[in-house]
Amino acid sequence: MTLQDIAPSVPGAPLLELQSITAAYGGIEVLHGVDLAVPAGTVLALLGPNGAGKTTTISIACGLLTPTSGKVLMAGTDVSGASAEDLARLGVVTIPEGKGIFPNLTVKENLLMATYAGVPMDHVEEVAYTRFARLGERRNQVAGTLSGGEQQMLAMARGLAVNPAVLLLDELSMGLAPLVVEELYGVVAQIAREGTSILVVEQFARTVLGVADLAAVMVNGRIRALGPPDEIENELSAAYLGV
Amino acid sequence: MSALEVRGVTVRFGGHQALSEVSLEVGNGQIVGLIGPNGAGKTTLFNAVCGVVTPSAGTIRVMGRDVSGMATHRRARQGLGRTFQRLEVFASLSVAENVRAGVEIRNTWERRGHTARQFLAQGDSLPADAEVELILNRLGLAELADVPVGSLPTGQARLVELGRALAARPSVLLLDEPASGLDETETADFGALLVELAAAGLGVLLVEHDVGLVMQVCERIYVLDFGSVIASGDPESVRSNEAVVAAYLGAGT
Amino acid sequence: MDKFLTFTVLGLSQAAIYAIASSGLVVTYTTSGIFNFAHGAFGMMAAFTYWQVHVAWGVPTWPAFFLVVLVIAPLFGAGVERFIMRGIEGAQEVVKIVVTVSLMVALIFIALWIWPEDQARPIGSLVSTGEVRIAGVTLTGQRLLTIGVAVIVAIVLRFILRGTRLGIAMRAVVDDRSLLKLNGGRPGRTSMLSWALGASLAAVSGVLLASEQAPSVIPLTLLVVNAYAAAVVGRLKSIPGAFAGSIVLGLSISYVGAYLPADAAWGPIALDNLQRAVPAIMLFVVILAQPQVSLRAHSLQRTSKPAPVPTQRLALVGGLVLVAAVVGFGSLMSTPDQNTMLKGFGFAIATLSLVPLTGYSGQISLAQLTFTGIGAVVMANWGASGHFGWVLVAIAVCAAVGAVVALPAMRLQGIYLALATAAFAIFCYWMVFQQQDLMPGSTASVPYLRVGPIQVGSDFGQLVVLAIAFAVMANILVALRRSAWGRRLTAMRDSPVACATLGLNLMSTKVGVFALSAAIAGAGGALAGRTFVVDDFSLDQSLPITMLAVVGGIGSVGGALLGGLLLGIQPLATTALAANAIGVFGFFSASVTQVMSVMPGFMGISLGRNPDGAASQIGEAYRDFSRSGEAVAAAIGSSALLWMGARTELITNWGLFAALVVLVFAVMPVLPALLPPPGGARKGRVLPTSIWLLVLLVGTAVVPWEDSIGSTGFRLLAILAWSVIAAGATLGVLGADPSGRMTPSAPSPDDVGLGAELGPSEARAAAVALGVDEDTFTMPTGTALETLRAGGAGRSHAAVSSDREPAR
Repeated sequence: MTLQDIAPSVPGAPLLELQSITAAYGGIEVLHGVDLAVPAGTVLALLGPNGAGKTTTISIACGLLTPTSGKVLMAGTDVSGASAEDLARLGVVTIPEGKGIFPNLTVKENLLMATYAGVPMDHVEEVAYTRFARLGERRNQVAGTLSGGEQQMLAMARGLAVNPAVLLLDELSMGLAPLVVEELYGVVAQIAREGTSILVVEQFARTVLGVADLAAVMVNGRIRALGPPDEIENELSAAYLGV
Repeated sequence: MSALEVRGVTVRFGGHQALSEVSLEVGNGQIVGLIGPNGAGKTTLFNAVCGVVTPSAGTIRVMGRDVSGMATHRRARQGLGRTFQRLEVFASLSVAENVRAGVEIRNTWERRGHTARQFLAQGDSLPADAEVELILNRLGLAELADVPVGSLPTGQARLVELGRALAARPSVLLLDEPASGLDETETADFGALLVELAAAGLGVLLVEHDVGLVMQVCERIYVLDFGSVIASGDPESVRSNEAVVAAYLGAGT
Repeated sequence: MDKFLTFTVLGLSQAAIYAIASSGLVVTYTTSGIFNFAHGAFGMMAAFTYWQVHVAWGVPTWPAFFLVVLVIAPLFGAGVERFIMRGIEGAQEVVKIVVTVSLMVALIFIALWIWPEDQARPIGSLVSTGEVRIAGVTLTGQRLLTIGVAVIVAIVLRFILRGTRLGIAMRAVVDDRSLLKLNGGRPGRTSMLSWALGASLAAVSGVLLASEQAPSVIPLTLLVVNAYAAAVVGRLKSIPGAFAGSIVLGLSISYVGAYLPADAAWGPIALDNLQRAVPAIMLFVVILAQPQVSLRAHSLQRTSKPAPVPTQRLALVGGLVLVAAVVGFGSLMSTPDQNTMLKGFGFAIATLSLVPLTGYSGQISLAQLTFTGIGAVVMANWGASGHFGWVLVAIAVCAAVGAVVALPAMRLQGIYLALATAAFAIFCYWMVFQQQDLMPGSTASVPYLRVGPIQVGSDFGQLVVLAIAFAVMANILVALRRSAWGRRLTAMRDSPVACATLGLNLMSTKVGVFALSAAIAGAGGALAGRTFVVDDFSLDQSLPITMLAVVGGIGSVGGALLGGLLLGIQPLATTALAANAIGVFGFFSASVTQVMSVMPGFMGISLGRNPDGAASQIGEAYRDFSRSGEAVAAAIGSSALLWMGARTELITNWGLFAALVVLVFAVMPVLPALLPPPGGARKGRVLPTSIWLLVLLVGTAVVPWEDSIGSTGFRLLAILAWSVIAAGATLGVLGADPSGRMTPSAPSPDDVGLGAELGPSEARAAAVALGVDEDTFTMPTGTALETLRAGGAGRSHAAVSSDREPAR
C-alpha cells in the first residue's frame, strides 16, 4: 500500500502537509511553527539563506527528525513520528543535500537500493538508463567516481523509477553546471506531471522558479513569504543581492 | 605588500577540479568579500590558503612571505587566522576558556617583538586574563564568559570562534560565514566590528551569504563560481555584473 | 627444497585460518564502523562451545560444527549488535574501542568461569582421514580442509557482498546510514546480520585453530592479533586485501620458524622469540605505511560530558586523605594483603597515566603496562639500590620510549593508534621482556625505595610510598589540567583543526602528552617494590587498564583510582572469598570471585548505554557531598573514629568494613541533604541527624558479622543489604528528601534562553507571564534578553501561512 492508495480516503487533502511544526537541535529551537502544504502534482520551492531551517524542514518531512510539536500529514494521515524507512516504503523519496548516492557502491548497486520501495530492479534499471543514457554506460562504475552531475542524475533516477507520492529534494543544483541543472529540473517537472507532490529546497536558483508552482521564502525558522514564483522572485533578488 | 596574496591556486579532488587558477589579493586594512553559490569552492579556497588541503598548483603569500609549502600551524604563525563554516569550537570549554586557549596557544609560539599586527591598541603586553576580557567585551560576549560553548546558539558560537582567532593576533583573517545565525541588529554590530578591525590594519577575507553585509563592508568583492573567479571589483560593479546575477539565480528565465 | 615447500604449505594453511578470521573482522568493521577487538574472543568462545557440544555432549562432528558456526555464533553476534553495539553508534572512537575491549575481557572471564583451565579440552581433528601428497609435500586432511574452507569463505563472501541486496545494503550502511533509511532499507537489521556474519566467520576460524591445538582461553583470544595484522593490509576495508595480508603473514611466520636457528641472536639480543613477534612487527610496519590521515573537520560526534575538573584544594585534600587512609588501614592488613595492595596501587598508577592521554587529549593507548614493565626492568637491572635517582632515570627512559613510539604513530588516529600500541605491547612482550639478560628467570625484582638515608623496609612502607606517589602525580595532573597546557589538550581533543589554525603544533603536543603518560606508567613500575613476572606486562593485562580508565570516567583522577583499585583488589578478593559459591546454575557454579572478575568487563560494556563512564553517574550522587565542607568533615571524622575503634580492638575488622560500607554508600550521598543549607533554614536538624548517624554507624560496627555469618560471600551480601536498608531508614527517620531540593522554581526572566535547563516551554511560560510577545524569545539569546529586560514587546514579523491552493 502506498500513499497514493490512501489518498482518496481524505478527498482534497494535500499529499504532504506540515502543520505548525517546531523543531530543535539539542534544546535550541530552529523551526518556530512552519506551515506548508504541497498538493498532488505540485512543485513547491522552499527558498532562503543558509541556516534558515530549510534542510531541517526536509528532515522533518522525511521522518529523519521528529518535530517537537506540530504534525506531519501525508494524504491527510498523521505520520508524525513514523520512521524514515517506513515513509520511504510508503512512497516518499528524499534526496538529501549533496549526498543522494552511496559513493562506494556501483551505479547498479545504488539503483538496487531503490528497490526497497517496492519496485522491481528491471523497472528501476530501465527507467534510469532510458532517461539518463550516461548512467547506462557507467552501470558498473563506482558512484563516487562519477561527476557531480552524474551523481545527481543517479540520485534523481531513484525518484523517477519509484514513482513516488512525495518527492523531497534538498539543494539539487548545488555545485552543478547550469545545463545539468536544467536537465535535472526537467525531470522534476516530469515527475510532477505524474501527480507527485514535490518539495524543493534551494538556496539560489531561478531555474527552480521556472518549474515551481508555488514558492516560499524561509528566514530564521519561519516562512516569510509564500506565493506564485514571479512575485517571490523579486523579493528574492532584493534579499540576496540587496538590489 | 599585501596581507594575503593568492596566485593561480588549483585544487583537485580525484578527477574533480574544485578550484582552477584562483588568484586574489587582500590588502592590509582591507575587507575583501568572496561570494558565490553553494559548492562554488569558497571553503575549499580557505582550506587551501590555511593548508588543510594541498593545492596542486599556485602560491600563497601571507604578509609577503611564501607559505605555500608550510604546515597549517606554521602558516598560522605567519599571521593567518580563520573561522569555520561548520563550527569548530572547543565545545567542552567555556566561552572565556576558548578565547584564552587562543591567547595561550599564541604565547607558545610568539617570539618577543613579533611583528603581528595589533588589532586593539592595548593588546601588546597584557596578561592573558586581561586580553581575554578585552576581546570578550569587544565582541559582546562578556556576560556569557562562563557558559560552555557547546550550549550556545550558532550565532554566538561563531563570535567565539572569531574571538579565538583574534586572540592569535593575525595579520589576515579568513571568515567563513561569520554572520549566519545572527539577527539583523547583531549582523549590523558585526559589520561595524569588521570595519573597526580593518581600520586597525587587519586584512579580512569574508565569505558570507548575507550579501547585504558583504556589499556594505567590503572594498572589493570576488565572485567564485565552479572554482573560478568569474568577476571581481567594487560592490557596485559586481552587483550589476550579468554573470554574477546568472550565477546566483541560475541561467536566467 | 622439500623443506621450503613443506613450510610453504604449512604457512598457507595457517594463512587460511587468518584469512577467515580477518575477513570476519573486515565484514563487521566495514558494515558497522566498529573494530571488534573481541573478534578473537568470539572465536575462542565458539571453540569452547564446540568442545561442549561435540566432546562433552557427544554430538557428532559435523552437526556440532554447523550448530556452532551457523546457529549459535550468528545468534550471539546479532545479540551483541542489538544490545551492545547499537548503543555506541556515533560515539567517540575511544568509547567504541573500549566497549569491544571490555567485551573481550568479559568473554575471557566468562570462558574461564565456564571452562576452568583445570583440564585440557582437545576437540580433535575435524577430518580423521589420512594424508594427501601433492608435489612431494604431505598434506593432512585437516590442512586441506582449512584451505578449502578459506576458498569457500572467499567465494561466499564475494557473492553476499556483491550479489545480494542484503550484502549490498551492508556496504550501503557504511556509506550513509540515513540515506539507506531514506531508501526504505532497515540499517538496524542490516547491521545485526553483518555482526552475525562476522561472528560466524570468527567461529569458523576459532574451531579450525582449536582443532590443531587444544583450545586455551588467552592464546586463542590473542591469536586474533594475527587477524588484525592481516586485516590492516586491506586497510580494514578490503577482503581481498585481508586475504593477501593473511598469506604474507602465514608464510612469514612459517619461514621464520623454519629458517631462523633456535639460538639466533643479533648482537646481545636473542631472537629466539622472533617468530611470535612477527604479527606484531607486521602490524606495526603496515600501520606506519598507512597514508597520513588528513587534518579535517571532525564528523559530528556525540561528545561525552567533560569530566568535571576538581579544584586544586579538593585534589590536595583527596591526596592527603588517600595517604592517611593507606597508612591507617594498611597497618591493619596482613602482609600478603599488603603485597596485593601494592599491586592494586600499581594498577591505579597505570590507570592514572591514561588520564592526560585519553581523558584530556582524546588519544588512546593499549600498552600502558608495557611502560610499567620498562620502568620496572630499568629499576630492577640498574637501580637495585632503590635509590630515588634511578626512579627518575626509569621515568625518563619511559618518557623517551613513549615519545619514540608516539612519533610515527601519532599521525594516526583512533583505531590505528590503538592497534599500533597493541602491536608495541606484543612486540615488547616477546622481544624485550623475554630477554634473559633483562629479566633473568623471566622475573624482575623492583627494590624498595631509598631516598637519601631513608630506606623503605617493608611492603607496608612501599605501599605508603605508592600512595604518596599516586597523590602527588594526581595533584600534578589536576594542576596541569587547570593550566594553559591542559586547556590546550582539551582544545586539541575538541577541534584539532582549529588548534592548528591558531598555530599549535599538533604533532609535538601529542607526542608530549604520550611521553608524559608513558612516564607516569613507568613510575608505577619503578616504584612497585615487588617482583614482576613477564606475564604481568602482556597485552591482555594492559587491556583492562585502558578499559577501566574509561569506565571510571574518561579523564577523572578519582575514576583512575577507582578503576585501578578495582582491578588491584581482585586478587585480594580471590584469597578472601575463594570458596564461596553464591549460585549454582546447571553445569557451573559462580563464586563471588568469578562474579567480581567478570564485573569490570560488564561495566565497560555498559558504556554502550552511558558513554560518559560510570564515575560520572556515581559522581552525580557524591558531588553535593564533596561540595559541602561540613559533610566531608563529618565523614572523615567518623572514619577516623571507626579506625581508632578497630586499632584498639573495640570493634572487629569486619565491623569496621561494614561501618565503612554504610558510611560510603548509605550516609555520604544523603548527608548534604540532612545538613542545614547555606541559608540556615533547618538548623534544628543538626542534633537529631548527628545522633542518628552515630547510632547507625556504631550499631553497624558492633554487629558480630564474623561470628554470625560463616561464609565470607554471604557476609558481604548481608553487609551490602544492610547498607541499602540503612540508607532507606536514614531518609525515612529524618524525613529528608534529597530530590526535593531539586524542584525547579519558576523561570526567572533573566534566565530565559541562558540555562540549558530552560527549554522552549519554560521560556514561553516566562514570556507569557511577562506579557511579552511569544516570538521574542526565539531570537538569539542576547537580543531576547535585552528585549525581555526592557519589558518591551518586539512585534513579530508577519509569517504568512500556507496557501492550500496551488497558484497555477
